[in-house]
Amino acid sequence: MKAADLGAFMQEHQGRIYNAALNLLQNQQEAEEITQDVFLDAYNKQQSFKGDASISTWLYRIAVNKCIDILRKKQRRLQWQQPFKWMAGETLLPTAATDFVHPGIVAENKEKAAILYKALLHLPVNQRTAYLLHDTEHLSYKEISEVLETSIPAVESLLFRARQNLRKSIEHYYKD
Amino acid sequence: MKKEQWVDAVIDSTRRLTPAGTNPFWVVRVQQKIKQQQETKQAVIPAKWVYTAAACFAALLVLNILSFSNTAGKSSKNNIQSVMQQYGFMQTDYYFLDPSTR
Repeated sequence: MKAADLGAFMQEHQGRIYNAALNLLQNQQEAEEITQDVFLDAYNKQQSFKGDASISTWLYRIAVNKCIDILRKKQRRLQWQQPFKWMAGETLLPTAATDFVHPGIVAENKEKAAILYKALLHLPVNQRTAYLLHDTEHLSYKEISEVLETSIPAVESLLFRARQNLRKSIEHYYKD
Repeated sequence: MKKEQWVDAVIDSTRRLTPAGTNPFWVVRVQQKIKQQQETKQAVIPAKWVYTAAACFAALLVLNILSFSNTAGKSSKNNIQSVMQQYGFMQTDYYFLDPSTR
């Protein structure tokens, strides 16, 4: 692929990559930067694409790895700021008191979606990624397993635990 | 029951999600970054040369340290001996206790 061919390639895939990054990071500016970095990496490392998975899965893998790096950096920074909360381990602590809502959410669902996005911040990074790839990006178990470089039963288990933990987190926001 | 229904509604709130729009100028930005990369790549010295130069400097440094450590001990000994000789400290007859034996 030449730099000139990149335009059509990006037009085809950037929407999905941007939306996945936006859901994971809950930050438009970071998602924009990640999307551009993904295509820059894809261009530079195009020889490493072996064709064993689809090109979109490969792009998702690059994007997810970059997002996880950012989330872990944020988590580390937060742990330094809150030394007694480091015991939370892999659980992603809420990075800020954000009221993020995806711009594509229907107006009537905005309040509920804000709660869902807040609850998602409490999920461990791998559960959160698997949940978002399945429920918002509509990837199959096989595709998720390729993106996360794990087995299909592991993805099923991740999704099961993600849903359980998510329900528990959401229940805290319930008001009678 | 009411609570469970509410939780289900929250989870389902992202089901009818319209994908967020992207900016067509991202392509231009990425192409610009690629162009910048290619320009800087031309100015970069090949890694082989960098490693060779680093190895030469390291070898020179080791040689310097070795030669310094070899000569430093010897010269200091010689200097002390020459000073001792110059001041007559090598002659032990000054140290006899009985002055009549001089």
